[in-house]
Amino acid sequence: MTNRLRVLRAEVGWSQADLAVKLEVSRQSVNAIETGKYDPSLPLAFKIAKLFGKAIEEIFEEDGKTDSGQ
Amino acid sequence: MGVFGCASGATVAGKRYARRVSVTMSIYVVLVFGAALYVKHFSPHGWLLYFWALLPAIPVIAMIGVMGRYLQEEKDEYLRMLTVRSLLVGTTVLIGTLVVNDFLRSFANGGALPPFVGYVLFFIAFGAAQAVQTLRNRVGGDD
Repeated sequence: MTNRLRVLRAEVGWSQADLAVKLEVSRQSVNAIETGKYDPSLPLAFKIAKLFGKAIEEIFEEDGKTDSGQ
Repeated sequence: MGVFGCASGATVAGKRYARRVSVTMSIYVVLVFGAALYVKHFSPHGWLLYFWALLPAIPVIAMIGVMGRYLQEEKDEYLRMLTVRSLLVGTTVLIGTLVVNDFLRSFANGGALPPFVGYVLFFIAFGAAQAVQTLRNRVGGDD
């Protein structure tokens, strides 16, 4: 799964530490999600989406997914 | 980070875990030396000997409870996963060592392992896995 977390975070000017505090997780977790080493659980993905005011699929995308959705 | 370290001592659960490990291991050291001295000087027999022989095992078994408590209390799912992964490494080394030794004893007249090898290997493997994961998950400068 790929994600746009780093881009979204940069847009609002938050550091990884800032985001970690807002999500109540460690900075290691934020880094692991951003670098694709770890896919968050559904509750954490919802929390991230809510924080950025977006739908989950606007942040996380399945590997190899195309625009046509196939 | 020690042999019993969790992936992060930075979280509330991680700090509680570190404190519980310190207390449990302190009790272990006291009981090991206490039992050794008592058995050496008083040469107990019967149930008293069994009591003193088994006493130091209690904090070692309690360590598994301390780890379980950490997993229950840790709210950071990623750190929880790292700890579970390390426990799996420790368990693999422990079970692997025991099963290989048991088959060697059963089919090839192999000797028994020295006492305490199993749990020492488990904790070393667990600690090494935690150390490797901590190194692999180092975070550099924040942006």
